[in-house]
Amino acid sequence: MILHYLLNGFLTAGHWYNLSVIALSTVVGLWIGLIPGLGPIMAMAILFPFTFLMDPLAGLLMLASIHVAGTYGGSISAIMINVPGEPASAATTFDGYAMTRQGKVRVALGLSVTGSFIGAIFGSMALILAAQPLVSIALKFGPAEYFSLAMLGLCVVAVASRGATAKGLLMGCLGLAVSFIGTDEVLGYPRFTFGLVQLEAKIGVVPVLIGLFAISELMELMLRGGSISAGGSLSGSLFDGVKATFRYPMAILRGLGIGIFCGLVPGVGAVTANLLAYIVERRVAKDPDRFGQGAPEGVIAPEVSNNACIHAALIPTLALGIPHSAGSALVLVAVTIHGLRPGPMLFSGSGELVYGFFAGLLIGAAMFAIFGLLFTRWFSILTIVSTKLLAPILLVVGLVGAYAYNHSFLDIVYAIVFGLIGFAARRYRFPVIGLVMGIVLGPLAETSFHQALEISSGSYLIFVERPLSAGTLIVCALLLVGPTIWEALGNALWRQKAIASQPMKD
Amino acid sequence: MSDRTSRNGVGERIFAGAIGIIFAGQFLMALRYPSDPRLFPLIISAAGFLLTVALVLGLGLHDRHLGRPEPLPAGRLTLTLVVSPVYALGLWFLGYWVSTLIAIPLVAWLLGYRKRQTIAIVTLVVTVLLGVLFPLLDVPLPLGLLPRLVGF
Repeated sequence: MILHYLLNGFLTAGHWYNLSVIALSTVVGLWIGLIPGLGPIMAMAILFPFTFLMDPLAGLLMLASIHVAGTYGGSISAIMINVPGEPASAATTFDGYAMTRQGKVRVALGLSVTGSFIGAIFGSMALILAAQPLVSIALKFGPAEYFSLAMLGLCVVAVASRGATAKGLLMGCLGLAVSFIGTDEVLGYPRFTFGLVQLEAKIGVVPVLIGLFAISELMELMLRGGSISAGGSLSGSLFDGVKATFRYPMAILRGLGIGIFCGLVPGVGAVTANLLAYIVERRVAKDPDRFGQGAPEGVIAPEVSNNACIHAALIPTLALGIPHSAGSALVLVAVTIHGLRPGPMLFSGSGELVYGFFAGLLIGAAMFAIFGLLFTRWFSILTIVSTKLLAPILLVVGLVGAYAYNHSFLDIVYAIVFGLIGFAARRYRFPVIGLVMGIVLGPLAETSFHQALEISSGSYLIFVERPLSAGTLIVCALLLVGPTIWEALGNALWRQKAIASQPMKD
Repeated sequence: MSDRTSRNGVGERIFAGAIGIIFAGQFLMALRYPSDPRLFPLIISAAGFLLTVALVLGLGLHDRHLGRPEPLPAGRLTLTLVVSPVYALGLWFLGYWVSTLIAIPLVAWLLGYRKRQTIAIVTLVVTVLLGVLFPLLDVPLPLGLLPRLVGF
């Protein structure tokens, strides 16, 4: 039945008018996603009124295509200039940019486009085939589980910073501390604002990321000189990257799992999915020292994950009417405006429009992959341009991008402050990823912490009484103390063996 | 511990210490808030401060990959630290167009780039591209205080 609907959907979405809408929106999304501070949500919001004048399916496809292509576009600048165009590409910078420094920018872009394509296709398939069973998982999550999940995210960061767990935890705490600045989301109480009204709004993720990545990289470039590609030359091709992606099937699977899961649980989001996929890859790697030095899995998993997340996020949006992000909220509004009612029945009724939309998502994934392969090879030239010329451009794009986020000079100040923090953190090997995770997960952690205590009338036992929450917290504890215990046990066994193997003395 | 490692430790400890001051400040400020809004910040700032103390005391600084950071040339470091705040001030005072038309060639020149034609072309292309694209997307660019004062 689904296959029949889907084939009909392809026929509808394949109409030349819908195809041209998808193609044009994909190009817009790619370009907007490239520029830090702009992002696809802004483009979606601006173009939203146009959906009223369009055929319902074309309107929905326009919004979805911009969202999806914009998320992919963010990874292009993340790889080329270490500036995530979109927050959901933050983790892609770590190994993507390292590859660029080695002159392998095209290979990294090939890995990214293939990973993104796979994520988009399988995320869409999860939406089409398994929305209803998957949504039941999302319904099992309450405030206690959300809190445990946020803690898990932070613990994974700390543990993945091998040899620097304390530094990872410290940066996570700093991120949480930054997320407290502004009005308390639960009670509306202004905190750490020094009486300044401007500080009552929370510090946005975009200026923080621009600071941590763009401004700190600008400082590095100015000090280092040369070109981004350390050797001043390019090696490898996009298709080397495309082929290399398939050598890491487990990284793809892990990225998909994390992305779909993060998409299902409202409030978690593509930024977390991207960061978590990177951290998990680093954690499970046999040789984690390769990470940060241009490990292909460090690009593949985060890219698969954020794109799978964007698509899977449509499951709670369409099946429950719970939008997961600003982007899915806009899609939800467009769906309702065109007379559709989000809920389980959406998938069985309104077949032509809904499955036309699903088919359009699959076509959109193919389009951004094609455009990505066609256009990004030209961008790679930027990485062999002298940093003496590139640094001022990065300065302008970074600071104007920070301003664009909220039309506020305060965001420029945030970007500069976090640029300095990022510069020092990189120099002394404090994991910046912990800070980002803390800021991203802070509101979720605090809100769910208070909500859980409200439900339990102040009893902290709620976090251990609910099986899913307790299980997650046990995993957190194991992650933090497990390696130490494991190491101690190993040492004890080794000592015992050494004693046993010593020749007996008279 | 070699001299090289201990020197690195100093930089790390100073950085960790600076973060610790933030946690201490946040803890003290949070004490003045009502019970609910202060609870989570108190927990996190206390945990963060303890971690800082541990790091400052040298516990948890066992990063075997840590090489000594390369020494930073003073002149270039000053330029690096100054350029972003100065451009930000330029955006606020002179506005996007004037400050960007000055900043790109000036920074490129200060960094030692000497191809005048290339600088001119890049300056114009980047300034116009962003100057057109952002307003097109309904994002106003900073107009600056000075142009408004003189009646532009």
